[in-house]
Amino acid sequence: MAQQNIKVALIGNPNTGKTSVFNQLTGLRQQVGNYPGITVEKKIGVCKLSENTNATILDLPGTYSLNASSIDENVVIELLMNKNDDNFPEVIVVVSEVENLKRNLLLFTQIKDLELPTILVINMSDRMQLKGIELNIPLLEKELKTSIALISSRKNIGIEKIKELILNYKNLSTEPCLNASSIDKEYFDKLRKAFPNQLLYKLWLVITQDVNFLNLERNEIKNSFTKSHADLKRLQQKETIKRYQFINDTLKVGQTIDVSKATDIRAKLDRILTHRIFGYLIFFVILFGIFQSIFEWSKYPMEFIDSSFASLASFAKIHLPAGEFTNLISEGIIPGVGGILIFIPQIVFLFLFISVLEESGYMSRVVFLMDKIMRRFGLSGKSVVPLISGTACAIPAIMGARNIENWKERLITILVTPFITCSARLPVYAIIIALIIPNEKLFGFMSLQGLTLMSLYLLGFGVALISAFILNKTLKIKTKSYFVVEMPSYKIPMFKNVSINVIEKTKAFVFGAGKIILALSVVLWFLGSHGPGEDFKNAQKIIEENVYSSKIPVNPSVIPDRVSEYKLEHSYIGIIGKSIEPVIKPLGYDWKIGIAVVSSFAAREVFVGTLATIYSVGSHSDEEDTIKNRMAAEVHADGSKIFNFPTGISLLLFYAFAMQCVSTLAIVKKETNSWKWPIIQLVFMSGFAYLVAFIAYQVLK
Amino acid sequence: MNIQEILTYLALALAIVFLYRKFFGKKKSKKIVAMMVVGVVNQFFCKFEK
Repeated sequence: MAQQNIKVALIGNPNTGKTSVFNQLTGLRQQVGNYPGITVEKKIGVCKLSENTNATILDLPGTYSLNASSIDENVVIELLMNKNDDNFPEVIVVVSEVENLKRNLLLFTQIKDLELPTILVINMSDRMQLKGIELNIPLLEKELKTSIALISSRKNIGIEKIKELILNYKNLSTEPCLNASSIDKEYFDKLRKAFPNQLLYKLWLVITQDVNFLNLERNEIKNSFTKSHADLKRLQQKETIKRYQFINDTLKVGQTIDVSKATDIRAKLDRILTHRIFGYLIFFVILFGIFQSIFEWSKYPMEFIDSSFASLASFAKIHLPAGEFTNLISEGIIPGVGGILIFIPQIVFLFLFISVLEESGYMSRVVFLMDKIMRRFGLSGKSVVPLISGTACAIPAIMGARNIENWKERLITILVTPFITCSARLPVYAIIIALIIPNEKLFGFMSLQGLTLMSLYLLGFGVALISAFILNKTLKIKTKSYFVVEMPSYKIPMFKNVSINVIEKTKAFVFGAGKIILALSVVLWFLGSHGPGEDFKNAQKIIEENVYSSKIPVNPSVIPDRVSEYKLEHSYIGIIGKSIEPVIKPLGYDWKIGIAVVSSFAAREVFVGTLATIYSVGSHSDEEDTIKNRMAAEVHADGSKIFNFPTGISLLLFYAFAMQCVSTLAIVKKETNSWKWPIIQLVFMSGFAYLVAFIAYQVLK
Repeated sequence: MNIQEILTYLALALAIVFLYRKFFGKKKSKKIVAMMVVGVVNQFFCKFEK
């Protein structure tokens, strides 16, 4: 029998556990992409419903209603109104949750008006007892004209019921649960007569979308039926009131809340976690714990990966047939790829902690807590979310700023987010900190290296705030703003959600950066192992002549090292590096570091991979050697270490501030619709980074 | 020119094409692909003649 496929759209308010439901239904059979032309994340997964029926589930961005006020929300409406869209659903699953059912049902009633088969999922049933909530499901099903699945995605209860309802979606009623057109009978009758073949609510959405998004081309309907903005807004308000009246009446009989039975500790916890002194103190202690753990816990797996790649390179060199391609593998590809894979443990731990904080509901408290501080710097509490997600990557963080309705606050958030320490900076920080900061403990428990890492994160955050303050004073854009944040209940993080998030983020880091690093390793190895002119070709002869004609006796065993060094200096990469040396020398960098800095303009994490490749080419040894050891062993002509304290600090500061990410510049251009802002960002951030690194090196040396 | 050299030049050509496509977009990459092919073939014959 042929395999059947049902297209399902998963819709719901933010914080209803929609993603948990999606994860439970699809497991790891997920694909993450973007909607065409825009950068809103699109998640599609497959769920097996029966022997011969699958469901393709589309996880749509969280939305509070069909009156979209952001681009994310608009994606939902555009999809539901376009029957020709490839992803147009056959059935809609609206996810709500027991504690905020009243608010969640607003979206549900709007979707029901589109006359599509709709299932209502009420999530977090495990919290009903805690909150003293009881639901009369048969009555709610009757009033809302739908089938309801009462579930707990956290405890994996009721997931089979959702599958069963999707499988039998043809039995669902498509009748709306209320008559919203009664808010202005005359207007809607006129509309109905003019477009008798069109669904009335769809027409209404088309008209009101124009009100919210101004630029949409809805020509025909717009020309004949658009009232003034004020009138339409008034009608929208009337519609919302009408819907809430219906929801109130329904819940009055379908839901009972007995506060005396509630055993929740949320209020007590909130009082402490959002306290004006303890709140910040707790947040700081949590951050401190995270950075300590990142360094301490990832030490051993990192050492293992580093030595494994060193062994692999040495194994390849010895056992593969000698020749150019073997050299490429053992000196270019393996050290280059190893230079990025070594940071997987730190990335995993960072995202593990961030996911746990998000899943537990603590992050929303942080947003609330930080709003007061953010306002002083011209940002909103909502800017905290992009700023925190900036620790992963500035690109989704900048896209996340779309939630900020106020254009000035949004622009400032976009411009300062790249200062936040992203996961691409982590490899650079980690290796330099390990080289210049001793692995010692302060007061017996505080790792100095962990403390330095935390200081760099705080530095990034501090500079972002100061820049925001300056931008707020200089940008002449007049806007009004408000701040509304939803505080979800505290939950024990779900292992499945946390692990899927960690796997996705790590995969994006490894495969996104890994492919570029692999390709760059090949190019860099080639440029480092080939060179123009006679100096490169006759390196062996020149060094031998120098050694034997020297009056100072030289140990012949150093000749191979000197030849490698000489060849590297006269290779293509050596020539490029030497030509930029005058610019970077005042910062304390030699030409090899210069090459790594220049190549990492594409992406910061390339820095370590580049150095790993350059030092690997510059060494003649077949012995196993780790990236860290190679970097630690690099010396100037006078025998002093290249990666000393002043150079290390200068590099750390340079990477903390420099705008070294082509993809971020591209996304800023897309989000601001102008080259002006990414160019300002590039010039200001890189210039500032150069200046700070210069001052730091000159003072410390 | 031995097999190791051919593989090396092939890897280099692939790496350059990949990076070009990554940073300059797929549309503009036809020209660079053609140039790379010419380069590799040219390199191959130069070495082969020697």
